[in-house]
Amino acid sequence: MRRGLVFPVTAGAFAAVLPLTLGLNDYYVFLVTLIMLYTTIVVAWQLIGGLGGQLDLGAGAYHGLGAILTGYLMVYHGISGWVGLIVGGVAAAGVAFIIGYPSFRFGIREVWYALSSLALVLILQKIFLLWTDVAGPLERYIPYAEFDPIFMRSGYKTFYYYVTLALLAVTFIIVHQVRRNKLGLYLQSIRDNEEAAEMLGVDVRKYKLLALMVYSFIAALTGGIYASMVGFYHPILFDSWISIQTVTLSIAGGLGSFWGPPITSIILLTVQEYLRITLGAVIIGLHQVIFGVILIFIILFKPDGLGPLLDTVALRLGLISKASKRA
Amino acid sequence: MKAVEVVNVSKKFGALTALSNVNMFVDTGEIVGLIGPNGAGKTTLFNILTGFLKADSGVVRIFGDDVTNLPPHKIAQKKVARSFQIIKPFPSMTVLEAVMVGGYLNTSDEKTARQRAIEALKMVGVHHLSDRLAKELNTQQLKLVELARCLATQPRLLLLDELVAGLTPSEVDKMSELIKKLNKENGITVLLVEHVMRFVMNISDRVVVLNYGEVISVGTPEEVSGDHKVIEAYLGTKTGR
Amino acid sequence: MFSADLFTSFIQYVVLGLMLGGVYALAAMGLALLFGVANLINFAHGEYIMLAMYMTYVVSLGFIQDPVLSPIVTVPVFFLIGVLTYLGVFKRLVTAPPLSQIAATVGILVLLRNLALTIWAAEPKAPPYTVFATSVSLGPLTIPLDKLVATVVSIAALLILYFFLERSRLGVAMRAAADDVEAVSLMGVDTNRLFLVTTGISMALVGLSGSLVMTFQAVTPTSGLLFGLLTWAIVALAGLGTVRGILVSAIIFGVADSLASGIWDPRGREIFLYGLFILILWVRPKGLFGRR
Repeated sequence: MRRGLVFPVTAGAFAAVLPLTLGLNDYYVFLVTLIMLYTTIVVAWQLIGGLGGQLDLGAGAYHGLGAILTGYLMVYHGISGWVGLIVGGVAAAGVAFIIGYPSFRFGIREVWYALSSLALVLILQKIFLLWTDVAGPLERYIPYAEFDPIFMRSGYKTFYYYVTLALLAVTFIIVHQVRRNKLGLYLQSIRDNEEAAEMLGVDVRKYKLLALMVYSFIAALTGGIYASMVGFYHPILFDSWISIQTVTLSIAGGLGSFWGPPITSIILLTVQEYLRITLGAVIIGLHQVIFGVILIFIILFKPDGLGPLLDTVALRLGLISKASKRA
Repeated sequence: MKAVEVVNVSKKFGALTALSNVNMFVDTGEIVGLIGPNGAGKTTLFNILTGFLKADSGVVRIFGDDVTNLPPHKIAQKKVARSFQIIKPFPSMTVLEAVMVGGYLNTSDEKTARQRAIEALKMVGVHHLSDRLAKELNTQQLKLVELARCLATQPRLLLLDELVAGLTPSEVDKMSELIKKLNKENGITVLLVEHVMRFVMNISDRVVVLNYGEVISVGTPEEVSGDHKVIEAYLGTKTGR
Repeated sequence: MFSADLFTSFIQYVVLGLMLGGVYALAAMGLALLFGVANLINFAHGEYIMLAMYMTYVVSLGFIQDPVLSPIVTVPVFFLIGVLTYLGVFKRLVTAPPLSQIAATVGILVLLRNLALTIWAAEPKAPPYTVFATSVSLGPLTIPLDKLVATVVSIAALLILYFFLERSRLGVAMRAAADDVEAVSLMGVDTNRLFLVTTGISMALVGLSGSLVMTFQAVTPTSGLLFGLLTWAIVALAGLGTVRGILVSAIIFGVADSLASGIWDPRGREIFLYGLFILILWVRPKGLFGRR
């Protein structure tokens, strides 16, 4: 088998049978699905953040929007979750455009871009808290169905596991392709030096917007899947923590690395869940405190993140090809 | 057709007048040098030509097209390439990747971009550095890579901003040969801003001199270096200033 | 009369907003100093303010009952926190690219926010008692005394800071560093120590403002984000440079905040403030008063 495919195929095979190894235990499958949902956002974020170099903290906004809209359409209009996902995705991309176009046009960058994207999360949360027709302060419950794949609703978490797995796989493929083509190279040039890129004919604003909109679309899909899985939606899903978590995991995994962020994401999120289960009941919030400490340590002592380390190990083990390395 | 036409261009920064009714042109196929004391407005003019600044008034035409209000990337798409006074490398990319960014101009095909990049690297003589990262290179190499980046876009017009600053005399001479070759053999029109007289006077067909935002002299290198207005601009008048 | 009442309310809100602005200015000043002098992006600035607010709460439960007196504790403690933060984290960040600074301070943000969540849970906390609980009447206006004291203290602190920056050697060095760090170090100033002191002062201002803000509002673990965005918004509007610039910018936000909460809808407060922030970024990225 081609070198570069060993790892993905192995991992894919493992992932495909994971629910079975967990004995189809709803709780464990739920946790694993959750981890994969957040990892999907991390992978999608590589488009705008890893390659594009924009410190986007808007993941919570797009994830939440997907959850609210998908949920709303399912609850109040009986529209299938699949359609709801697309609607949520398109809406998120639209919001991304509305905030992205002026931001990029006016050259908002670095800390100011990070802050304004974070503000978006909080603004949307407040809007939907007040918009009682659609969301409001109380949870809205999605009607239960034991197994209705057409409506995209199931009492079995395994259903959502495979939906998420499919989304994660597609996201991987998208990001992988982008890294090798014109879009990926252009985004890196924007990340490295916008002015030089501009002078070589790169329409900086257009490509930033493109990356932003694709990533926001995918983030919204994760939100829609989440809402359907837990069976309710609420503006609390516009969660700034998701934004921060995504960025943290990406940086810890190594910006520009392909496998670094997702692997780091899976590892750290699993650790977090473990800590929450063991310690969380005793000391609430402790598991997230540790996140903060980890991030500080990585920035101070290993600023390139774990990515390069993971990449080297994987390369040595013959799991990935050289082309998958740093970008 | 003229490669570059600057018609009555003016630019002010607050109370400071950077350019005042500047008129100049570059014929297709020429090498024109733009010189003048520090602060004369040369880089401002360059920035206006390449879309990084908007002129307050006046018109800029490149190969007949009005580019006065176009953004940089649109001007680049008209086959105009520019190097920067302070080099702007792509730190995380290899030399080949960096030059391929230029190669992707007006195409989406990876092979085409790569082809153009390799040709450009060879033209400039740094093909052997293809797999190196920017941080491993010295100044001269970085300048050559930046030049290759420009050439990968297959430009008709090349704008060089202090290309040879910081280079040794022999490196400067090598650059001279390279630019002359690009001009004669590849038909690239060149407009360059420069302080290093050895370089400018050697390769320019014509020279335009700016001082305090105004054109004070135009002519061949010999004519201009003999022009007392130019000498005064650089050295000050006898009564001192 | 109907319109007279409305007018009075309006003036009331404006006055309240002016006072709020004074305290906001103090809160934002620390950030501006750090960003301007040491070129440090502290993404966790709001969380430090939140921490100061919680400390005020704890102190007010303890031996110093009145929150307006708590600066006696919070100011020196936070100066120390500033020193420790610098030695532990900031020192290495000064030369790091902006992304690393943001990432590391986000780490601090996460740490502080969840620490607060762990210790104090999610309910709002406010000090139980203040001796300044009365109000002063100024014509038709009612001015709560505790808020007034807080504002006066804030303005006083800003004045002291202003003179410090103008007259003292250290202050001048700080202002010079804000202009050109290399030149300053070439002139023999120990930039490391300079930045250390700057961080200490920045945090001391945070400590003071955190205590004073408690006269206006209660604290929750999400206060950090609110103050973070607010202070950054004030810095964005002011551009960098002057105490006066920060004060004017903060007053604009204070009045806007007060009017929006009073006249429109207090629940829409965040939408308004954050929306204003984004608009300012789009329209005036260089700020009102100077460089960014």
